[in-house]
Amino acid sequence: MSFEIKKGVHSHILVTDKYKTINLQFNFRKPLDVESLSKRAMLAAVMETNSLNYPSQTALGEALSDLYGSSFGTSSQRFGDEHLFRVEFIFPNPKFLKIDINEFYKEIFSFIQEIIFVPHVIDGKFHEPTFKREQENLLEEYASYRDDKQLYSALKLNELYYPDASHQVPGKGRAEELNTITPSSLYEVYQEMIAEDLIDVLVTGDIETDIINDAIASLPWTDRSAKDSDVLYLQRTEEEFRENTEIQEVNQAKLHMAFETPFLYGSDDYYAGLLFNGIFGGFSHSKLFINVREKESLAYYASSSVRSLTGLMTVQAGIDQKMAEKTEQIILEQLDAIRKGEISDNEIEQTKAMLTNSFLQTLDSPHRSMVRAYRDIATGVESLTAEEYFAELSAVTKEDIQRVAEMVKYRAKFILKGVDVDA
Amino acid sequence: MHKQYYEQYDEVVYSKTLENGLKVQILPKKGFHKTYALFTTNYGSIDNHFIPRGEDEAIKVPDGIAHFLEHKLFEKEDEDVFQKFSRQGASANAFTSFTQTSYLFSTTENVKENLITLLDFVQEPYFTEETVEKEKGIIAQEILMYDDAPDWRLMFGLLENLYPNHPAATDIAGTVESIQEITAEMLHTCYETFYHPSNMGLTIVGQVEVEEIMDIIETNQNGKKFSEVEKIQRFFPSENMNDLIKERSETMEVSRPKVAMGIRGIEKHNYDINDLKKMLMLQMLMNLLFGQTSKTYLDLYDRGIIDDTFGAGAIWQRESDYVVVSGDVNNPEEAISEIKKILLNASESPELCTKNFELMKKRLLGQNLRSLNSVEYIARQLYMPDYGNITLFDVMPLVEDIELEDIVELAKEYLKEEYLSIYTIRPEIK
Repeated sequence: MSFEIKKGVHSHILVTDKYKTINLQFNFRKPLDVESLSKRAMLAAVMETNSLNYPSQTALGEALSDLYGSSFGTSSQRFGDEHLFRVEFIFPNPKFLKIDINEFYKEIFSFIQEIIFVPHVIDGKFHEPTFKREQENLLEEYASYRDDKQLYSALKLNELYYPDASHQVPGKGRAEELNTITPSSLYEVYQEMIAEDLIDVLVTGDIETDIINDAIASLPWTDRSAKDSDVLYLQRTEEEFRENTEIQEVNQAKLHMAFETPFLYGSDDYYAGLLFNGIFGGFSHSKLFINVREKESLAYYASSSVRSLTGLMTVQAGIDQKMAEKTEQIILEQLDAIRKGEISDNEIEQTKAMLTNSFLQTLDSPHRSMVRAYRDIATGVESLTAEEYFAELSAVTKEDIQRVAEMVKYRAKFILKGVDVDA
Repeated sequence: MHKQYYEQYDEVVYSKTLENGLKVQILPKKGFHKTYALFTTNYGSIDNHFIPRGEDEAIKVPDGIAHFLEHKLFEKEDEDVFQKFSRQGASANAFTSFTQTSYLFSTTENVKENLITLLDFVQEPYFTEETVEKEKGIIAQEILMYDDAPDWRLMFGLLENLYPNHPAATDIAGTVESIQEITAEMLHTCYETFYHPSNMGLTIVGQVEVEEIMDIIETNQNGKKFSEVEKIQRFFPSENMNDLIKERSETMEVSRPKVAMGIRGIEKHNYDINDLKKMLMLQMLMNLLFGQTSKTYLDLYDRGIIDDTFGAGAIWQRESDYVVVSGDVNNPEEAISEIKKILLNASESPELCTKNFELMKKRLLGQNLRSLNSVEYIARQLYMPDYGNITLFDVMPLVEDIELEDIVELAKEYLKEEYLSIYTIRPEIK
């Protein structure tokens, strides 16, 4: 059930008795710009560390322990062509603990109010030692991307594929912008978010709608002008193929390929796109898995995945560097095969079964079911039941899959490899 | 069939040990779409020295064979088992640890069909020299992928120090060299010895009809022929604690230094509830010293000695147990010195106080409850041969029984300098 609490602030209550916990997700959304990546990443870091009345991690840790091992987390991420700041709480359902249920509800909402509305701010500035330390931690995190070779390669591919900085830069920002933020400018970022973002609160668990909704509504929200911008990222317009190869001391080379795909979330071709990706490289029965890994033993992993809010499909493979060209060739051959209609009924059936399986499994996780529900809320796409989802998949034909495969365009390539023994 | 109701959690576990020795456990979970089934053998990367079934002499097999076997079981003469599961709407996977190998599927439909596929594919091995050779390429890539991962290297560096000349420190997948020596015949030998149902457990969690499922399993197992139940003889090196390496380091292409420090246990395991109790106490000890209520931890964090990559915990499995602390640091010497002080003076630490202890118990109660949201977690924690006949439901009653004094005693007895080791990874100087 959904309620409007204030202009631009909504709650969505999903009652179910299958979880042992009560999970709440607070979503703050605004249009994307490159500075927000670093600014809100910093905000997420400081808000997760302490608050005004729990001014140290230890004090916060004690409060959470006292609430029977409750936990919360903040995250800051790109969300299509927008920015999403999220605070998520997990509380044990008091019906399993031998305690006063109403008392417990009061305590958890008091805690929520503290975390979201009472940050560690003194005289218009975030607490300096916390700020400094979290800024250092974030800078170190940026530097560590290089240590995760798969992540590093994926980030380099983004730089090649996307034409604008707000999409090229990693989701948590970069040193360039991070270094210009101050404890007082960060407070302005916080105030702006609380006052202007579009806010959606999701709750799931064995709860009573009225009780929970009253508690959420009693938090100090304010009206904001409801401007709903477009989450979906507009297609890139550059035609030129972009590529880059980098050499590091690695034992295993990484091949990352970027494709532009038209089947965005909520579009008519979305379901055909899901099937296409599943058959191409999304599952262990996919063409990439079978032809690159199993048949040729070229790679330990070779898969494809689609970001349905921006239309980017990436293929990633971990390979012996001498095999980079051959692997790329075989991958492109699989795309071609799908375009030509070399798709068996078996492949289609299996993919439909796996996608349905995935969808249903999402419904078993408090976090994932809320993530899915929120995506529908933000994009304005109707939330489907399992039966409706399966019906959409069933309606996709082989010709539909061929058609979307034709629309897929190979745009960029990044290779990470070791020093050439025979260059 | 035995039925155990856990009132505190409102959950039931049904269990039965079949004639062939297979231990079956089923936990029905209403309202969940997913059913998760896990078929596990009590055999892992450390089991490289044993007497093969039906023989008298012990043999040693190449490193990485348990993991290799896991890969190979999916390949049958007519098709790859992943395909079969996919067709039946299930997603399958497997993993090998130091002490166990598990095969699993999760599905939202066709549970019975997939269950039979799970039992059949694990119990009908098919290995030829060709298929074995082909897998070597894939696994070599997997090994190289891990070789590039600094945190993985950090763990193994420490293990090599704590357990020199012992399979507990061997990389689970072996090395690119060791796997070249593997043959189809060796795979068969290991399989025949360790994959006997009496050395295995099957756990199923999800929306299932218990009687029906148990029936299907029994019918399937009764329709197959198994050799006699025999105790497996495994051998491990007798250890000389003087061989423990106190400190080592290596350089890698990393942005910052990484440090791992560990202290190992020296007592033999009992494979019963006392092992679980000891492990819980070790975890509680590390939690008190370095967890979210620890001012000691906060102090290190605020001084920039450690950061968010820092972690501390206790590991307990067949043939090894140790506490470990690790993370990225700016100044390895400083971090090592500070952490060493904390570990070796733990019994006197202000963190081991009643207030923290009571808060920790509350915390563990809630976390334990929360873990029951995950069918995967439950399935993995129902069959735990490293501790004997224990399940996750035995944890909280034990925790409630543990007193602060027990933890203090353990700190004195376990955290000794002579069993402490340090492994560091430093960035290359360019």
